Amino acid sequence: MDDFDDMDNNPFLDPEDDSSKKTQTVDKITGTSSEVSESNVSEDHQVRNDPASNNANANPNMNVDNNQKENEDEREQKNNEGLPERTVKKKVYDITIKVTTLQRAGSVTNKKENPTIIFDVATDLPLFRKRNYRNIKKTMDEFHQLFKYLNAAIQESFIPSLPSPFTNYCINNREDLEKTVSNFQNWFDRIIKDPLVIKNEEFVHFIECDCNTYIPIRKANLIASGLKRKTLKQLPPPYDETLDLAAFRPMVKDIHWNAKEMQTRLLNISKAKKMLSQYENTFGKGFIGLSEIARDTEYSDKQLDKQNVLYNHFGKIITTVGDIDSIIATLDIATLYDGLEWIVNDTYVVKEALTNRHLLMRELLKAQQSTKSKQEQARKLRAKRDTNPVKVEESIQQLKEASKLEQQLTLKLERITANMLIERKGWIEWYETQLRTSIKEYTLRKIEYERKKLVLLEKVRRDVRHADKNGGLSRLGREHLLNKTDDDVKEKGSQLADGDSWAGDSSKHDSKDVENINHTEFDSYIDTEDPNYQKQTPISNNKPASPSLDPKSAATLLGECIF
Amino acid sequence: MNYEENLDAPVWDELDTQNVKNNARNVFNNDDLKQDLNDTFENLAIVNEEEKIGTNSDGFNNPLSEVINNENGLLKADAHPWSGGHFSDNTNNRHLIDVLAPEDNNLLSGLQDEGKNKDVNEAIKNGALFQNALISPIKVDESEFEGNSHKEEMKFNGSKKLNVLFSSARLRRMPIQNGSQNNTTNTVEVEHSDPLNQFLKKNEPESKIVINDRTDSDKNIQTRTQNLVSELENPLFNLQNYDNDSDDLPTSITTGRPNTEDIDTNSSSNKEKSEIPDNDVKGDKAFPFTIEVKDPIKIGELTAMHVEYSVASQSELIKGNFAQVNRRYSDFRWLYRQLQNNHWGKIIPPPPEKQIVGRYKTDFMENRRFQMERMLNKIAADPVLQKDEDFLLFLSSVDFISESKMREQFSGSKASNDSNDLSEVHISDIKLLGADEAEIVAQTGGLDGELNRGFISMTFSSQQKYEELDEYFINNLQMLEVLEDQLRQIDKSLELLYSERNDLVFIIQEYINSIKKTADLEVIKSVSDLLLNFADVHEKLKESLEQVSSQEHLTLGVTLDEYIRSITSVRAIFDQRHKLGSILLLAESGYSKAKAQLHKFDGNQNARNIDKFKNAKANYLVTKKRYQTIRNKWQEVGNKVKTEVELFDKEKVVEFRNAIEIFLEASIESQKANIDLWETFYKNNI
Repeated sequence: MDDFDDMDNNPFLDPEDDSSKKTQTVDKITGTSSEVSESNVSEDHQVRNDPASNNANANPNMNVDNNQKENEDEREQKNNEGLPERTVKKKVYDITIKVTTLQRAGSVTNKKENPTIIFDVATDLPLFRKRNYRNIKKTMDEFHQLFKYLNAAIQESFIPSLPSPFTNYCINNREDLEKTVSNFQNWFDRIIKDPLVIKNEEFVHFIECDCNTYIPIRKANLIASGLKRKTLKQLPPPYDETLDLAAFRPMVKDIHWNAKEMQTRLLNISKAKKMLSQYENTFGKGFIGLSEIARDTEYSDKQLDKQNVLYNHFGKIITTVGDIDSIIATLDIATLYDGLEWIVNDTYVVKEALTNRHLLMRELLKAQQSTKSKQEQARKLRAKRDTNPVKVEESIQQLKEASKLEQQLTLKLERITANMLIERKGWIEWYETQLRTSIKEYTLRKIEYERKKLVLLEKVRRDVRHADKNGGLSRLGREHLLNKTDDDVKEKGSQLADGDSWAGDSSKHDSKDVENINHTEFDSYIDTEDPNYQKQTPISNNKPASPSLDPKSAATLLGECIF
Repeated sequence: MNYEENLDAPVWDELDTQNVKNNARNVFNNDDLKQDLNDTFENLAIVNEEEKIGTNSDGFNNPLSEVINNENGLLKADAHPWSGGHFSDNTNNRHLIDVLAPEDNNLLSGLQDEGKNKDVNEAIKNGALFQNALISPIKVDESEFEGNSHKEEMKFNGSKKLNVLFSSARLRRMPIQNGSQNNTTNTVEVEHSDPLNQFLKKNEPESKIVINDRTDSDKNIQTRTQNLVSELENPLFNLQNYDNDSDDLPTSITTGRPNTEDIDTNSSSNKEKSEIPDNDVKGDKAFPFTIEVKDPIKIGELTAMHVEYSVASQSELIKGNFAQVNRRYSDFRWLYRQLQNNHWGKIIPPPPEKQIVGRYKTDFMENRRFQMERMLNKIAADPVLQKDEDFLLFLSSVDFISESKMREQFSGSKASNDSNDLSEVHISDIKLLGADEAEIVAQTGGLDGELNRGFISMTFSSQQKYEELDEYFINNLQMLEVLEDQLRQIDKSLELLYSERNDLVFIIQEYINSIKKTADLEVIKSVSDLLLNFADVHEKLKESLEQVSSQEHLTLGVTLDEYIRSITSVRAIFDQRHKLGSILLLAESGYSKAKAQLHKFDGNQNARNIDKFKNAKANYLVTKKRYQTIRNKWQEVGNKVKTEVELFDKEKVVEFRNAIEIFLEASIESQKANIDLWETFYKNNI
């Protein structure tokens, strides 16, 4: 494991205590990767929790007979050696963050892009000065700053990407508010699951500083950025013995691109649907126009009157169906598209984190090479009789430094690999839930609005059937019922509280749902008759609007219907 | 009198028969007597009684018709030389009636019994029962063509229906054979049976005066004039007879409607008339037709390329009950124009619109095929149109190219060089004025030319523009135009909807593919399953969308398209009225010119002027007659338009409503399917 140690009989080497050296390197690594102070904390952790964690690890080993699982656990344990934060199985510190609401203020773009998120925090982490924080206000910009810092500083984790500050429900409505708040809640939930993050001082600072004043105190830079990063990315990835992670990056990349493609297609569909709804609108308006034309002529024929009512209603219904289609198109975007958007963003972050690991591996390879060459040099010098001891000293010093760097990188990589393996599982879980929720939301909305559409279509059915005495095609074969053009008999919709009339299964709907479905945003539009129209055609309104038949006539009606 | 030779064409009786036929149709269309006729004769008789009452009284009440009566009184004497030949028909009829009289009962029962009917027809054939223009609307109408085209007759010999046609064809020949027969008895009968004629006799003295110097026999003249006058009267009061009811009791010559009650009570002449309902019933009863337009085939190469469709039809009306021929699009247009020409004021089911680009795409050909099939079936469903000779010719002629040309020539329809606009009509001079007179008109440039220059032979005055006075036409035409615009707009948005839906289907397919690709990543099994099912749902949705889309296209789209084209067809009959109006105006001015000239000579009749006077008089008479003819046609078309438009409105509204209903029900069903699809997905996967 340690090249330095294995070096053959180095006379100059001070015998070193293995364990102390290890702690030292861990110290240093944590120092470089996060903050010095944090390393202490983590060390405390380790010290305090090591026995506990050992127990925790041992117990399952004892209990579970499955060898494979045992091996897995062992491996996990081994992997987690460099990760004191992860080895804590029992949650010691607790932090809860609850997003309460969000505010949009200022200019239009500010409203949209930079809302203020308001949340409460309750924690027992020692790093925090208080236990409870109420109504913390942070703008989106601050979130961005924090994210940027965390992403660079904590290379071990996949820092969850920030949710979009707005949704496609369009800002300033209830749905948007709810969705955005829940998105941020979701983000916080994810982020506080990561012990590396909550113990980060910068995170503490973010929570504790005043509104609108957060700027990262420390600077954290990625291993490589800009052009260098781009160039390095072009190189083939180094050999990765952790197969899970080796396969993970291309997979995440595929998810990224596929999700993006789905988004594009979805957007296209939505656009097409909006166009469609527009045409549906014109189509419907055409019918309304038709009814107006017919009205202008001097037909006082009752049949034609009804025909006009039919055109008018049919037109309105079609127009409304168009509107609903447009709503559905928006909902498609707002549910699934936004859901995918987060996946797209997150996969990008994950992929970049994995890239960082690759870069680190490359650096480690370099370090290993330089150690080797330094070692070679030292050996050569030693082989010579007439070497200057100063020179030898110098080369040994160099060797020491190189091997130290190599050691550091090795440990760091180990730590990252171990953490990422854990994070990978979590991320896949998140991916599944995210996709599932998006699709669920999408489906629910679809069902709701498709049902509304059905109700609308069924509304005009009556007008169609009563447009003339014959009652239309629905009367085919039942012409003997001709006289029953009773306007009073209301046709019920097919979606009732006790299940759908057309479906065999009698799963009951919630009556509230039914109520909801039976009323659309456009009811007022549909139900208002054109006032002019009513005036001109009193005939159609002469009939007293009595939906209830008196029992006697109802009985006669029923009596005549013999099928 | 140069005109005598030229004009002894059957102007009068043509006009008349047209009217009679028209009336008959109107009556049938407006009352639901059609079935009654078939079923119970007795009932009909009663109803008819009332009918006639209305008819006649109207005739008396109508000032316009009275005016025309007077004019006719003036005219009738002059008219006889041209129609003189026909009076022999009456005698012939008389003879026939005698022959037929014993068959009285058979006739009645024959109405229900086709076999017996055949007997009657046989008799008719032998005896030329229907020669008289007064009698049989339909047959005489057919006979109108007879003069022009003997060819067709030969073809149709075989079928029963065609026997009638054939016998009617003799109508024209008979005059030549026994032109000098005396028909006194018949006339007397007519007089007895027709109060109207008695009324008209008041005019006789006047007419006698005018006629005196040219007639051979006073009696003949009288009867002729009476007949003529009564014939002339017919359309005028007959067409308006639905509004009024009064107690006069005329016989039914003028109604064009069978007076069945008379069969028992009246003289044989009435029995003769009783034949009319028989034929009318047949005329109004639509024979079942099955017509298929199929197998569009591209024929010829490059420039001469066209598509031929095979038209297979099956019906009793077609010789041999079945015919299959190849027709191209322009033939369908020819048929449309020809029918338009044959039936003024009738809405002809229109062919599809012309299209130049993309004629050979299968989609388009299929669409056109469908539209043309519907057109033919609509024509076949119409009891009048289905018996049209040209229609039958279209369905069965083997040598269609030359035969259609021939028919076109005879009818003067100019069917093959029609205007692109289906609503623009050509007024056939032959149809309007009769073959011979049309020839004269044609010498001076034809009606079309005259419409542009004014009737040279009739007038020198500057043209007046025809202005429609009847509000009905103005309003309706206006409404039609607005309606058409609106429908076109709807059609356009439907078209857009259709294409957008197809786009959407395509996009959804892409979407499905990308979902499947994501599923194929196999990140986790459950996610993959979810996504696959999700893709599946979309697949089904796509299918249902496609279905709805094509279904919508087939119901609403096609109906709408047809509605629009029918409106062009309706506008065509308005145009007919308008064109006739314009011609009428020209004729009127010509007439008044000639009248003025006649008056001028009237004042100083001396030897020097006698020739000029004669010429002027002849001119006056010709123009007057033309004016009368045109006027009648104009009125007749106008009235017919009214009834047709009303019918059209009702029919279209029902058709359209049905289309809407189908569309709606289909949408509802697919909507339910969609909901089920989503709910199942939800239950199973989430």
